[in-house]
Amino acid sequence: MIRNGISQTLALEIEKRTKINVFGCYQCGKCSAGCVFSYLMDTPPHLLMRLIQLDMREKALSSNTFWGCGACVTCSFRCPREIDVLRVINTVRSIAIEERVLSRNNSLKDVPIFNEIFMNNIIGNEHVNEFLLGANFNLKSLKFFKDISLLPVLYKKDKLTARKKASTRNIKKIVEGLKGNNGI
Amino acid sequence: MRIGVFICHCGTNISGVVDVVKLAESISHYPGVVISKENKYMCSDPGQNLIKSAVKEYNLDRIVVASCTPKLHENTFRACLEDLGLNPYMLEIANIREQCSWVHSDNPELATKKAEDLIKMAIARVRFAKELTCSKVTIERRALVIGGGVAGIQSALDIANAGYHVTLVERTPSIGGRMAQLDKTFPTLDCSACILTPKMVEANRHHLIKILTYSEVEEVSGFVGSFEVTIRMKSRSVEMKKCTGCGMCQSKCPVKVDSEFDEGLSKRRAIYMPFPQAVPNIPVIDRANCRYFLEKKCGVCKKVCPSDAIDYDQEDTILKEKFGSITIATGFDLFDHSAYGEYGYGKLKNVITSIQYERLVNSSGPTGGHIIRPSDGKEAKKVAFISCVGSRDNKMGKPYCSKVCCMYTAKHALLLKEHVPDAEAYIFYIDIRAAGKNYEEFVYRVQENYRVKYIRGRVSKIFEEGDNLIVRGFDTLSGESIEMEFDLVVLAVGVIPRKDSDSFARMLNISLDANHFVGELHPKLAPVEKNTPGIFLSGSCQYPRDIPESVAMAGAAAVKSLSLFAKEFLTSEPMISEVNTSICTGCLNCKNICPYRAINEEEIKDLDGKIRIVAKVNETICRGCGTCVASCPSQCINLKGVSNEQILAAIEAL
Repeated sequence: MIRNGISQTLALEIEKRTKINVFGCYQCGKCSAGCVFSYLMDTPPHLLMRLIQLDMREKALSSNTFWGCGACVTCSFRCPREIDVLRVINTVRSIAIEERVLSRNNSLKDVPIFNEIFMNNIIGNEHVNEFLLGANFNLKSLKFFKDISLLPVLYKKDKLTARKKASTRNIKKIVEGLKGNNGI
Repeated sequence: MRIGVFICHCGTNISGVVDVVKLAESISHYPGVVISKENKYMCSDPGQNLIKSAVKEYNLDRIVVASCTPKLHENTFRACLEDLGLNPYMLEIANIREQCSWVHSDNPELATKKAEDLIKMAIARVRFAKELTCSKVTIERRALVIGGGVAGIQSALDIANAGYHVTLVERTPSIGGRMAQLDKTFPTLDCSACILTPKMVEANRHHLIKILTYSEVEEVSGFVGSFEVTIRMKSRSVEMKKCTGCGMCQSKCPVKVDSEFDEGLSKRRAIYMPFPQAVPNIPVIDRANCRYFLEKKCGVCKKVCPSDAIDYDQEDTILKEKFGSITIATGFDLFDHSAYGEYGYGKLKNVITSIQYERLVNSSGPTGGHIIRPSDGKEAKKVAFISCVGSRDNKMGKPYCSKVCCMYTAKHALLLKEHVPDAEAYIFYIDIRAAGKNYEEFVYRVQENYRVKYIRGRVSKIFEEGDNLIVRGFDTLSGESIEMEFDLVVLAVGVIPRKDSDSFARMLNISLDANHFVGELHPKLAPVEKNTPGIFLSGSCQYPRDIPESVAMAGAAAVKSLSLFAKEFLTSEPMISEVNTSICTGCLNCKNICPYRAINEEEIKDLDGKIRIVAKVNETICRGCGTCVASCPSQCINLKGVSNEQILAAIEAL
């Protein structure tokens, strides 16, 4: 229940990071209608926008919208109010990661784990190492034998050993530049 | 020179920031100022009486009023001077509200200083004020109405019924406009044609209304009271006096073209009347499609015409007439939905526009009132109506609400249920805007009695699957995704300005608003007037309007014309340019730059008898914009009331 008025701290934080004014959204639902992943989300995109407008910070940050999002940009492209919805979704993800807020819905709980490992993998190695990625993911998600049958294939393709590290400076630079409002 | 300064508090609008009392005291010591007074409201009767008594008591000959913008009360104070027997132009207004107290409320001290400067400048200007007089202009008591839709017809009727001549110019072969295309009208469900055609006939029979169809206004010059208008009457290729409207020609014509009136849902012939009740009931030959004009063959219409009315050699007629007023009732176009890729780029056959649907449900329309799909002629049993297509959409450059779509969409769904009782109607909407008499009740009726399903959410994609269309939407109220199959999809396309509104505005020398509709003089207090005096607005050329609003605007615009015609003469604006012929070099920069074409060349005889060319200002056309003053290299053109010496004095006073 909203009792004490509505502030706009989350909206201002998003505006500061992305220069997007979320109050332009009139919840027509075209983003959610076009979203191919909205069936995965507990909060479809137009509702996430509403939660931001109402400054329901916890509900917004603990939604699984941004973990279900496939970044296909359909929402931003079709938005009649010309709001970059994807960028808002990504920014909310950044804030959730920074504040270590967990999804209240368990259905997509593996996605953030994968996201973290994948990003660390890229930052550390420049390449994605499938074996390390899979092994780490299985350990952290407690699914130890997931995809274990693929090991021989990886062995055959010589993917088990880590490649020689290339210069990771450039990758780091790119990732740093993207931090804060792109969901990293 | 005896100057009085009167400073207004404007309640607390000014005095809340500017120290008015101190200001009045310091200004009273200014050279030339005889008396300086302040008052709570200068524009009120007590305020004006204060000015009047001060003028009498101190024998003032010119005054400065420091108050709000001259746009609001300049005329009030001019009238005040006139009452006193002074020339009304011996007045200067210092705007210390909009240009001072309102914008500097954060710094009262500096605001007071600025107010003092503004008043000092006004005093400097008023010192050089000259007595100006208005000249009288005669009025041509005839009205021109551009556009023969319901707004234009009503405006013409209202003016003509008051006893003045009206010329009604319509671009298409018949008057009637958009309303003639509609089936029923919301919320009463009157048959549109049934209530419109009597008005069309009345206008046609009215002895004071001259209807020029298939004609366009080509050039407008002049000014209020005497506009000179050039009208091109395109050749119909049919002699209007001989034709009886029997229709033999159009039944025999071999060429078939998409009908504009039926929005491409049926074919018309190359010689055609747009619809059976057309006024005048005389066909035209569409020369761009006629075989006689393209290939010099055929000539069937001429052969079959029983009254020998076909004239292939007829030429366009150019008509030059004078009018006292012009009413713009040019109406609207509809948004082209092919801009929406997600709705099929306008290529899906069973996705039609709302105006096409109007023709479909109309019993005299192309299908005889059967709601069938264009692709295979099957009756539509499940129809989706999608609102806000090309309106409330910044991405399409149409941020405004098209206003009439919510209501006509509700009507469309109702008509579907009436025509096909077992059909299902779904309306995808964002908000329902039903602000009008009995509008909200109408929408309730559609929801409760006709069980039309309203789904709150904009549709994101329409695509074909087999014979049917899949609509992908979202019900934002329940949070449910929707993917449904439909026989037919009707897009409520938004009302947009006429596509040629830019060139039309240039021809009339009028301004358009941000959305390219014809802008009004004042959004609240002058909604049917233009900033050019004598030009009035009616109907959807100004903004999307429904029928009752268009008719109301038509009446309002007619009254504006009539109140002009009721005057004995017009007074011209005295604050216009004047040429000092003794120093004019005749370079005629001013002639080329004048936006109103008010400057011409004139031959004068010098004192030593030599003849030379100088510029001459036409006093009735000049609007006092000052462009010529800025362009004159020898500074011989001056704007009366805002002369160069006044401006220089004001700057010096700073």
